[in-house]
Amino acid sequence: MDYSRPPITESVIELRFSEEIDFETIVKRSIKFKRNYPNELKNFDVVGEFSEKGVFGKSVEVGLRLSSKDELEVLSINKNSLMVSHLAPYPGWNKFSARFHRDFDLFTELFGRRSFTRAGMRYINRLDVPLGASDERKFINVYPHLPDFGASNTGTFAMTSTFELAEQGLGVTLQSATVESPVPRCTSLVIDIDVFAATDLPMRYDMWEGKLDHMRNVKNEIFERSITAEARRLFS
Amino acid sequence: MNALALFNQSRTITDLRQAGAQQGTGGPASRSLTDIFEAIRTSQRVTKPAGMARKLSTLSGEADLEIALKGSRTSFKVLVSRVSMHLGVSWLEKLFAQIDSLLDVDEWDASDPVPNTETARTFIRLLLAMKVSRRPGLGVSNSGNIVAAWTAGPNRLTVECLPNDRVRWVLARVTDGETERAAGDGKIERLREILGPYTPAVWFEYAD
Repeated sequence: MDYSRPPITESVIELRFSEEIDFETIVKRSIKFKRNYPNELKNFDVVGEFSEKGVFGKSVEVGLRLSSKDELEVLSINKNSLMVSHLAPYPGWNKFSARFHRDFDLFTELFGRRSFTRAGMRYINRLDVPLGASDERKFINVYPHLPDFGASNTGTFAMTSTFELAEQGLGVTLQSATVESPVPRCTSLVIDIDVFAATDLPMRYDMWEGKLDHMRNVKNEIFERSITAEARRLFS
Repeated sequence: MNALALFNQSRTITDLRQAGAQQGTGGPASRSLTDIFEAIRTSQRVTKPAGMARKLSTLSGEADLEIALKGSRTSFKVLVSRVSMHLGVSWLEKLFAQIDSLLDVDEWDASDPVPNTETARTFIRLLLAMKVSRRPGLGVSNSGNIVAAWTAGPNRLTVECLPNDRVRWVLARVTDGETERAAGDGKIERLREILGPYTPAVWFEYAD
């Protein structure tokens, strides 16, 4: 379903490599992406060690985060993954998908054909609900079930569920939570859908388009079933 | 048994051993929620957001100023992006152009403090709370706070955006040939009410 003001705050497509790329290679070969992504930052992993002497952290460079001039389009090339994401406003599937394939093609040209262990598609949606109508059950169908403690709603919550859709050959991590709203006089609900495939990944590059289209259809179905008609009125 | 131990236990009960379920698809701007869940799932390993290392370094010289301004522009735009569904694409593009112009390294006085995320957040919440149709002119105060200014002929409203939804404002409003001036400070949630007697539509809405 097309919405006039989609509540998507971030959309992500990520492919995970079966073999790592070393950081120096990423830095050397990513220069050609500069035309579309002039901004560059390093991505770090921080590994913490806890002992009686205290907490020690070590940061390790794991890749580059490239972004467009307006900062809305992001490309992350890490040792073990390629990630294309778009921040709000969501440009629509056709544009987002086309951008992914453009970057995937250039990545293949620069880094060679690779095999993958996982493909993930994640859409983070935030529903901004005016205060006074904050019973989440009016807006979403994914929330914790609690015994009757006498509360009128479940208050704040964060829940996650990971399940397999065997017929689709996909896994799903579905999260919902209340979050502090960036909009005054609102409370916000997040529906975070991560659809992923870890088996039957395309061997041929021209089959990725069909695979991603399929994942997107499943993601849409999950989203539509996770929200109510009342929620649709917020962003239609 | 602490909460983390409970979650780790439930992870073994739930079938999260399936490849791919143990670490979710990344998302650069939504780390907070992700981190909560990832920390629960994987216990100790936390990915630091890009750019955080830069904040740890002391600022010295032009290169560091450029990095600080770039970081400020990025944070500002990401915050605007988060509420873009309430502002509209046209507004967003014009506001981004204003941010680029405001935080341009070539125009920046190196002795001025670079605006932080808190002042940008208050500014965006001000726009939404006041239901603003007309974009304000933007500036930065000596304290490094975003300043929004609306001018309609002799009628002027200037609002300095402080952290935590607080604002400091000053106005000049002409009524029946008389210029009235007022100033104050407080939370943005009260500002519309306080400005009510001055007919704020003169600043926030386009004239018919």
